[in-house]
Amino acid sequence: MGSEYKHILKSLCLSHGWSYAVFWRYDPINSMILRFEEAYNDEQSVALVDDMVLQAPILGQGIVGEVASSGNHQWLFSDTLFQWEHEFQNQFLCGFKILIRQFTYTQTIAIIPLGSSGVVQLGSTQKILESTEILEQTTRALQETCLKPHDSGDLDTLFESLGDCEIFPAESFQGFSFDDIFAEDNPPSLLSPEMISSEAASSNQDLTNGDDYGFDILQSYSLDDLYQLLADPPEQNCSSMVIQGVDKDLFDILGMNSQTPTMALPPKGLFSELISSSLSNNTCSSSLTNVQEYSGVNQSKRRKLDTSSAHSSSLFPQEETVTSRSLWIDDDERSSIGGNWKKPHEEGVKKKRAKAGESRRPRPKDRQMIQDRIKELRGMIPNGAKCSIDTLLDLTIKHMVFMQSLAKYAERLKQPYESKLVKEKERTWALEVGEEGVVCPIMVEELNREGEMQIEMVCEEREEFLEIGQVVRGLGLKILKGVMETRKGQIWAHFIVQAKPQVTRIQVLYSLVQLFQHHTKHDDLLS
Amino acid sequence: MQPEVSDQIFYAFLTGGLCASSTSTTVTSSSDPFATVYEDKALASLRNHKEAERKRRARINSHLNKLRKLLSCNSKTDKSTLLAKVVQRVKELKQQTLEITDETIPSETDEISVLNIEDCSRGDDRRIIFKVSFCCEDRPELLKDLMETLKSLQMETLFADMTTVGGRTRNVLVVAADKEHHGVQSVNFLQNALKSLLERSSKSVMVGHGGGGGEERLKRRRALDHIIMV
Repeated sequence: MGSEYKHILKSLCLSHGWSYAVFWRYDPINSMILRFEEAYNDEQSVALVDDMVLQAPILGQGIVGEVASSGNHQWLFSDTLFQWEHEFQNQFLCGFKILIRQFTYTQTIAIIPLGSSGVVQLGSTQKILESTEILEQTTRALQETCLKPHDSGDLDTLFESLGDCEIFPAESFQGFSFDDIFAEDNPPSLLSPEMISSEAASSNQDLTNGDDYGFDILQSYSLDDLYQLLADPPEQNCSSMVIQGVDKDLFDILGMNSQTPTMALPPKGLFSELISSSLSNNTCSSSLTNVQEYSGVNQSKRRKLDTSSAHSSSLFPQEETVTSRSLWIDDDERSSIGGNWKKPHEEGVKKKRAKAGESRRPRPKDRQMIQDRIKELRGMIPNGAKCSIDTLLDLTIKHMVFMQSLAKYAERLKQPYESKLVKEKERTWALEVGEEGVVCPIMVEELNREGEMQIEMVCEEREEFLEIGQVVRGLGLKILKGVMETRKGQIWAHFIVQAKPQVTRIQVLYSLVQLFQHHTKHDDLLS
Repeated sequence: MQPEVSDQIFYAFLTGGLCASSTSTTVTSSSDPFATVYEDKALASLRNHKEAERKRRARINSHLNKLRKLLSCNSKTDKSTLLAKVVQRVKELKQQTLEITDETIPSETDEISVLNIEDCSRGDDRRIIFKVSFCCEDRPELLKDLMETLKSLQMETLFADMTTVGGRTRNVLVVAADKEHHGVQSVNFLQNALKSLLERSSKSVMVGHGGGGGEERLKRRRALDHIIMV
């Protein structure tokens, strides 16, 4: 991994004339501190880079920390340094001395934020003019590498890999119809370079639709709805900038993959399996599990994921016959024209039912039982007393789905969450050193493998609670529980949320840090 | 002989449906000058009726298939057995959810409750306290709309508790308002503001149903049910 970063930093330096490049990343344990990740330098800058490696910039402090928290890049020249002297002395007292020392060797210093990936710092003995091209190339190159899945055992990396892998099956659905996927003469690799290029030509909407498509499967309770989704995914705009950024980078990842055949996705068997699993189970978990089999997750972790997948599937358990039935329907739909495939099936069932009725029990008795059951349902289902039979059945389905959710919720209330001590390593928190000692204003913690997180954040004002909730919704998270409470004289916002696989703790924390910084500056302006 | 056989088949077909429905048809003699007109009208009416009945049976069968999936029933389970299992399952679910006594759990119907809390206002004569509780469909912009509503009414949130289960959400808030601008009658302002908030949620849900069968669902969607408690 490190050598990969070094390679990218080297190419950036050689292509634009930089003398050195240093890559800072958020510390996995304390995201308020930036940690040295990798550096490249020429012979003249050895001492300077060695000096920088010893530092640990803090978010919001020093010039690197300021760039990380504000999200705005800095491009400085030695001959204009003294114009900023007054501002530097006020805001970057600690970093000012380091900056002076750096400028004795270099004429240009650029510090570029990379969102939730970190910060990159560049320096040159020549005067390099600021350009959008350099900024974009630098940002894209490093963010691509950060988002690429790899085999590290780090849990953070594992979760990010899970998020990345989730995109592939969704992406494949965009470009292939059922006929293409099941055709016998399909090439071994479905994602050909031409396909990737044509996909890249389309907008981020495709990936967004893919995400919604994956989410909609969870909500679907009939194959008819599933076919409609496959035929025409709904158009929805993604309201989260973070999500959009991630999607954009993922396109580039796909583009990079097309250039290396060895990294191409596995042959078509995988996709047949994925589609079959999705159709029969109506969940995304199994797709995620299948993808993991090809991404090199080791045996024990895959076993964990399988257990999690089974748990997710148990919400709507399916008998084996249902699976075979689904596959049969699928084959029938593929071979027929339009919606005509339903009629033969319906006629067949009708005939069988009539025959069974005649041979097993008298028809009047059967009909009387049906009427009795419908009368019972009218009394049990809300608003079911005065409505037609088809409306009554529709209300019954909605009522059962809702009651099942309530029952699951009640079951969860009985089982308290595991001790937080066990989850220590999976917690990400932001630290602020103040006069009153160490206060942790933001905490994000994973609760279980189903994508649930706990978020705790200090509110300077009571109105901030709803603002924080809105930011959380904007990330695409669902708020299962949200409480504003007072703790040790401070107001805290406490949320339990459910996230999609590609949303990581770092991204949630990053958005909340931005909100926190915004409030702090707002207060400073008022005072 | 031939006309009698046709009539018998016709009547048997009509009485074969789940809901017994009968249409009487009079066969007139050929000497009637308006026989053709009557026959054409009868045929057209019969065709329309058949089509409507066919669509209705298709909807019912679609719902029954969904219920079979929900209950993991065999796809060939007959109607009476399936309905019996549905009734049993609904009873079981009600029994399980009876244990939930938490007032913050969402209900299946939309609700609004606004209370003026007198006890809390004794300590501070300049403020008036309300307890607000509402339940509706969950949607991404709900919190944003709620924030704007409270700001427009110049109310400060003192306490908040929100819960989302099964696509439904309930928010319990304690808000404070300045007595200079608000009084006990502000309960009505809050109720009306929250009512429009819930109506937006309901419309959002209906729009989400757009696409296949959207028109029918819009017609069928029951009116928003407000249970307003004061």
